[in-house]
Amino acid sequence: MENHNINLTLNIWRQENPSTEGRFDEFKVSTSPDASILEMLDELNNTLEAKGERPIAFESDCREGICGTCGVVVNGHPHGPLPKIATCQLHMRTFKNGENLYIEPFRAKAYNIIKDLIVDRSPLDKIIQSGGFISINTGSAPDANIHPISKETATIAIEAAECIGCGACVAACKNASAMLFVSAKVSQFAVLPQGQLERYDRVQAMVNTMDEMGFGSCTNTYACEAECPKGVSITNIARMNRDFLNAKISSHALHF
Amino acid sequence: MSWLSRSFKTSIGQKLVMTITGLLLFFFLFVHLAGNFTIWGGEAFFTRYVSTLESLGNFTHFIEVGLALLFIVHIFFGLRLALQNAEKRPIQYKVYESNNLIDFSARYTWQTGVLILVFLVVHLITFWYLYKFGGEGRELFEIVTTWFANPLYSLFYIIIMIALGIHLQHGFQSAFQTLGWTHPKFTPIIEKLGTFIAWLFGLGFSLIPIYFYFSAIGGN
Ligand code: HEM
Ligand code: SF4
Ligand code: FES
Repeated sequence: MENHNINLTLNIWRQENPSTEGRFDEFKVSTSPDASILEMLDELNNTLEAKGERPIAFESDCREGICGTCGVVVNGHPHGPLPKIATCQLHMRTFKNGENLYIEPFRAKAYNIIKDLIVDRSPLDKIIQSGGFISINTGSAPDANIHPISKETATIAIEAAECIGCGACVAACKNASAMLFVSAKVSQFAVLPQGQLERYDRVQAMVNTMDEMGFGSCTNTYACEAECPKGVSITNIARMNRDFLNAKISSHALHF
Repeated sequence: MSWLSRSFKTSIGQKLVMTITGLLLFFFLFVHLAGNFTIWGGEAFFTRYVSTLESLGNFTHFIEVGLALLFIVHIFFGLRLALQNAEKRPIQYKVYESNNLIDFSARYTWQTGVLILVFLVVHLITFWYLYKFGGEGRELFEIVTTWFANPLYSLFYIIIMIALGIHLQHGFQSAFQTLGWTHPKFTPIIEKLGTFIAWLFGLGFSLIPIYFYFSAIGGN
């Protein structure tokens, strides 16, 4: 069989645990261009384990771009240099034979490194817990159609709901701001009838938690949108800003 | 803590302060540029404009104090936001490319802001202070043209006006994003308007030092 493999030099961030210092380790690999980057790391881990060395820790689950667990930064881009894909969808044919790759964890004050490429993204969960839900009983699936909505509205909600919570927007932003994530989670409810009751409390609670968790503020540079694997739009950030301002003007909840 | 001070401490609340002060400053720049353009009417016309401003007395003082406050608040909140954001990624990336995907003007907002701040101080000392408290009874027209005959001063002035253009190229549309006033219908117009305004201010303010520098070396 012909060997089409490409040879790459990998510089991968290694860190034993949250409190130790990390470093880059260099690995030379020969890999199939058809392998995904995670498959390439699986193979590398097999060889490391065969040699009795510690495998590289990274996260993954669905490996088809929908669960949001696999994010790492490849050559300076969260989820790698190609637009609108998750790390698990990044194939080695993207890279040239002989290329140098830097693989780093998502970096932000709010994300602690657990091990190697795995970061603790639970601050994003905390934001959801503070308001990213609907607490009234909205019935079962067919009941959703009780409230007629336009196609445009449905599209806005669905496109916001495409966010897979991967946290790459934070990793991309120079301020490590979570505004794209939070605004997607605010918008998916804000435009729907079922989301109205808690609309203004939700946006204020989630923005407050976002600030408490140590994410930066938005300088409107839009690096998040460029790197988001789902192409979540910064118009969601505008909607969240608008709702936040409206909430401050009209909400009765004075405790915010 | 009241809801008001709590609200202005949130990330979006601080940005709203930047937006409101930024847009008001931007209105001021319009008036300032229009005022500057009276210089094209010649020395007598310009001097009449300056004395009209002075004849307004307390109204002018009121505007001056308001302006100073706008600048102070915009600068204070802007630098504080920049400092807060600078510590949100304690360990930097070895390779960081995401920022290269964004518009050039969006990368240097606080840096262009600091340049404008340096200019503001120099500008106030060399024009405003010298005119009001210089004590030699010099006309503003003469002060302005003397400074602009200095190539270093004119170059400094022009560089900062370019920085101002870059600040507003990003800042104008950014303000509408922060307010949440975006829509597929009018956001493209706002973006074009922002670019137009950036060029208008960048070029408009620069024309004056360019003209007076060349007329100074032209010997008339
Ligand atoms: C006449 C002068 C100025 C005008 C018209 C102006 C206007 C603006 C506008 C419209 C914005 C956008 C606000 C937003 O993103 O919502 C902005 C942002 C900003 N300005 Fe200015 N500005 C001026 C001077 C300054 C100065 C002197 C500084 C001082 C350091 C400064 C620092 C900043 C910073 C740091 C931001 C970004 C804030 C952020 O996004 O986090 N600006 N400016
Ligand atoms: S907005 Fe995009 S980048 Fe951010 S968490 Fe959601 S899917 Fe990931
Ligand atoms: S593993 Fe699920 S998105 Fe990549």
